[in-house]
Amino acid sequence: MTSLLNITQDQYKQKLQARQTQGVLYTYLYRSSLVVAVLSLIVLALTVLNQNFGLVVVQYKIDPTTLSDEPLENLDKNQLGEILQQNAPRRILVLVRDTLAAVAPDQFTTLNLDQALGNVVFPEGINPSEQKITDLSDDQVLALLVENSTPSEMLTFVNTEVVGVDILKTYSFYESASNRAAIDAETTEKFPEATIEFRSWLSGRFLQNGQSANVNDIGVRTALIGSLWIMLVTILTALPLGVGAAIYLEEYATDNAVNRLIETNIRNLAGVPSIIYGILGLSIFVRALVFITSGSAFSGLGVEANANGRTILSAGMSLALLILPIIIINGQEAIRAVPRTIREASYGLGATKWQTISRQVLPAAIPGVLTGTILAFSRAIGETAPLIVVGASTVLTSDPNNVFSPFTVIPIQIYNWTSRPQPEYQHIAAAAIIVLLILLLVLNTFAIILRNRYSKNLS
Amino acid sequence: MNESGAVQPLTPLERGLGQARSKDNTTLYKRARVGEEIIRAILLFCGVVSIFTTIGIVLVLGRESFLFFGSEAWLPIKQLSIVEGGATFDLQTSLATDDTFILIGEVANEVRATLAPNSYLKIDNEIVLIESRVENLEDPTNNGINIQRAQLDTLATLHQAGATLQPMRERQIKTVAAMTTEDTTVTLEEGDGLLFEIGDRIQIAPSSEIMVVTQVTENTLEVERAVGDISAANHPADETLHYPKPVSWVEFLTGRQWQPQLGLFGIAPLVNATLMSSLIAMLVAFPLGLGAAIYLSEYATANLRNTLKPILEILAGVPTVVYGYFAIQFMTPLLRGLLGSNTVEIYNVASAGIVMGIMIIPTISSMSEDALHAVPRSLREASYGLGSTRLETTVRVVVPAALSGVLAALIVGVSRAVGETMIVAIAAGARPNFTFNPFVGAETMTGHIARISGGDLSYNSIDYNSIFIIGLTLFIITLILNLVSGWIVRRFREAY
Repeated sequence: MTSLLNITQDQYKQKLQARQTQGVLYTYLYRSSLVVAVLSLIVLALTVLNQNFGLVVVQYKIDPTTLSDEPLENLDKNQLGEILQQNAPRRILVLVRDTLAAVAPDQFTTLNLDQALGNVVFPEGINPSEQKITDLSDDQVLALLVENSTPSEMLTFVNTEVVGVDILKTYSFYESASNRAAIDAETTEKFPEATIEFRSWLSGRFLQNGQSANVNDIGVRTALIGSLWIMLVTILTALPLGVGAAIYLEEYATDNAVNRLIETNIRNLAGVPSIIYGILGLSIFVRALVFITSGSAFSGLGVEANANGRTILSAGMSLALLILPIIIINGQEAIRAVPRTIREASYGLGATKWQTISRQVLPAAIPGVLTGTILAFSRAIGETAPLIVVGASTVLTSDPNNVFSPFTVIPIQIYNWTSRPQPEYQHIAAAAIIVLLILLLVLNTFAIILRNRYSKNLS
Repeated sequence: MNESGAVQPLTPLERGLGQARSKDNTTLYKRARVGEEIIRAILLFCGVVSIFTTIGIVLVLGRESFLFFGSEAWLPIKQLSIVEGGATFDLQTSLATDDTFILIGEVANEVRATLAPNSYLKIDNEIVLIESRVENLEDPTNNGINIQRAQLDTLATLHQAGATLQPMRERQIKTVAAMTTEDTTVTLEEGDGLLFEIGDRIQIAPSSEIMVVTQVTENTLEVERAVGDISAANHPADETLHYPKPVSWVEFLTGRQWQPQLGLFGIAPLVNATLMSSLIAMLVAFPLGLGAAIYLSEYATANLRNTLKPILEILAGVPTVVYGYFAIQFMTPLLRGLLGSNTVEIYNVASAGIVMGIMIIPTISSMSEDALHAVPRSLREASYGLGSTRLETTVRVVVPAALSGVLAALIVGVSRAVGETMIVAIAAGARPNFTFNPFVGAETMTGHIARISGGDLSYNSIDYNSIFIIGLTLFIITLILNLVSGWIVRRFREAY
C-alpha cells in the first residue's frame, strides 16, 4: 500500500500508460488466436479445392472426335451402342456379364437367360426361359445391354472400352493457374499425342461410378451407398436405445448408486477413443456374433450370407455404440429443458407416468433430441478409425444390397486414396472429401430446419 | 379412510379416485400399472446398455491382452558366422565397457561395406551390433561406427587397442530335404543340428505345425510331429526353422523396440510417439484455444461472438480423416519448405501434431469459454472498481476463478489427442520408432492399430492379440485422463 501512495503522479501516469499498452497488445494476441483458427479452416478448404480442380494431361486410345460428329455426351444410348459395336464388338458380351449377370461367371453361359440375368428388361425377339446367352445374335446382345443401361452408363462403357482415356499427368489448381505456359511446353515435349484438359475431379461421373482400377473412371458410388446403409443401421440401433436411456435417466431414475454409476459411465464412455469401439466391434460383432452379423443365421429366409462378420451390420452397430453416449447426453439435456409445469399439468389431468412422457414430455423435447441425434450421426458418418478395425473392404466390385454385405464408406476411401503415393489419387481424395463435407452440411442443415419447424409448432 | 372424521374432508377429486379404485374398475387400474412397469423395465435396459458396453470393452481388451502375454512369437533361428576372407582391422584405441563408439578412420570402400548398420562384429569374445556409421566428410580420420554392446548373451568387457574386429553374418537355419506328414527327421546342413537341444520346440515356416526335438545329430533332428492342436503338414525343402519366443510383461513395459516380426514387443516407441504428438498438439491447441476463449468471453461483442462460434463449431465438425489429408497435403510441405526437406521427413510427427492441435482448438475454446462465462459479473466489476485494466481483470481474476474448467478443457484436449487416429495414421509414418525428434516418422499407438488391422488380419495371430494390448493401454490412459478431468472440476470448482 505504501508503494502505491509513494509514487508521484508522473510515475503513476507512466505506469498506467504501460498497463494500457500491455492491454492493447494482449487484445491483439487473443484476437490473433481466433484469426489462426479461422484461417486454418479457410486454408483447409482451399487445400481441398486446390486439389479438386486442375489441369490433366490425358491421352485417348482413339480420339473421341473421330467416333462421331457430335460430342459423345450429346448422343443417345442407341448411338452409343452402335459406336460400341463398331469399335469393340467383343467386349459387349463381357459388359453384359459384368453389369447384368445374377450368377457366378462360370454359370453365366450355361443357364437359361431368365436365371442367368437378374431383373432385366428383355428386348423383343428373345425367349428368356429357353435361350441361353450364347444363343443370341450379336445385335440381340447389344440390344439387351442398351435396354438395361442408362445413357450415362453407356457413355462410361464407350469411354472405357473404346476411347480408353489414359491420365498421364495431373496438376493442382494453383500449378495450373500460375504455370500454364510451362505445362503446355512440357506436355508438347513429353507427350506429343496427349491433350490438356481442365477438370473438376468431383463430377457427376465421380458420383455415379463405382470402384475401378482406372484412375479416370474411379467413383465414390459404392462408398456413398455403404455410408447410407451404415447410417441406417446406426440410426435404427442407436436412436431408440439412446432416447430410451435418456428418458430413463431423466424421468425414472432416482438418486441411487446404480443410476449414478450409469451416469458416470456414460460420461466416461463419451471420452473413450473411437478406435476402441472398433476393437470392441471386431471382437464382439465380427467374431463372437459372426453367426448373426454374417447373415448365416438367416440363410433359411433366403438371405445371402457373407463369408465373415465384416459386414454393414457389424459396422453400423459398432458406430451405434460409439454415438450412444452422445445421443444420451444430448437427449437428457433436451428432456431436462421441458418445464416441470407441463408434467404437473398432465399428472393433474390424471395421466399416468408413461402417458405424461409419451404425450407431453417427448413431443416437447423432440427438437432438442433430434438436433443432438443428427449431430451425433454426422460424427458417425465422418468416423474412419473404428471401421478400419471392424474391417472395411478396400476393393468392392459390387454395391452393398443388404445389411450382410461387405462394406466401404467415404472416409475409408479418402484414407485409402490419401495413402497412395500416386498424385492422381490425391485429387480423387479431394473430390471425395467434398462429397463427404456436402453430406455433412446437408445433415446439419436438415437438423437446423427440423429444429426450427418443431419449435414453431410448439409455440 | 380416516374414520375419526372431519380432520381432512375428502375433496371431490379424492372421492372420484376412491370410486375409480372400487371393485368395478380394479382391472383397468392394474392393467395400466403393468404396462407402466414394462415400459420402465425397457427404459432401464436402455440405460444399462452403456454399462454393458463398458464391461464389454474391459472384458474384450483384458481377455485378448491376457492371451497376448501367454502367446509365443515364432522367430527364425539364426546362426552367426564369421565372414571368411573378409577384411580384418584392429581397434585403434582401447574400448571401455561403456564406450559405444569405435574409431575406424579412413578405410577402403569394401571394408566399409562389411561395417554396414545392423550387422554384428566380434571383438574378443564380445559380440556387438553396429547401430550406425559416423561419417565426417571434412576429416575422414574421425570416421567410425556407433555400436550396441554385449549382444547375444555376451558380456561387455574392456578391449585393449589392437584387438581384431571380426565381421559376422547372420544366417537363417534352413531345412535341406522335403518332409511328408509321416517323416520324423528334419534334415539340416552339416553342423546346424548341434544348435538344437532335445526338448526344443520348432516350427518350419510357413506352416504353423509345432514339433518337439527328440534326438539331435550333426545334420538331422528327430522330431515328434504335430504337437499342440495343429495337424502335421508337408514341408518342402529350403524352409526356415523357427523357435518360440514368449512375450513377457517385463519386455512389454521396458522394451524400447516394437517389431513383432523380430519378436520385440516393447510398448515404449508407440507410447513415446503418442505422447510426443499429443504434446505438440497441446502446444498449439492450448494457447490458441484459451486465447480464443478469452477473446470470445471477455472482449468480443455479442454479434461477433455469434458469428465466430459457429465457425469454430465447423472446425470441430470436420471429420478427422479430412484433417489427415490437410496434414499430408498442406502442413508437411509447409514444414519441409520452412525447415528444409533434409530435416523434415515426408511422414513426421510434427506435422500430424500441429494439425491435431488445430483440430482440438474448438474443444478447448468452447469448454474454456463456458467456464469463463460462468464467472459472475460481480467479480469483474469489483476488479474494475479497484482500477484494474481489462487485461488485468481477465488474467488475475477471471481466469483463476475459472481455472478448474480451463484445466478440465486441457485434459479433455489431451485425451482427444491421445485417442486421435486418422491424422497420425496418414501423416505420422508407419514405423515404430523410439525417437524424440519430431521431424522424423514415428508410429503412434492408434496409428499402429489402424495399420495392422487394415489388412486381412488373421485371428489368433500375435498381431491380432497385440492390437488389444495396445488398445488396453490406450483405454487406461484416456480413462485416467477423463477421471482426472472430472475430479478437477469437482475438487477445484469455485462455487459462487
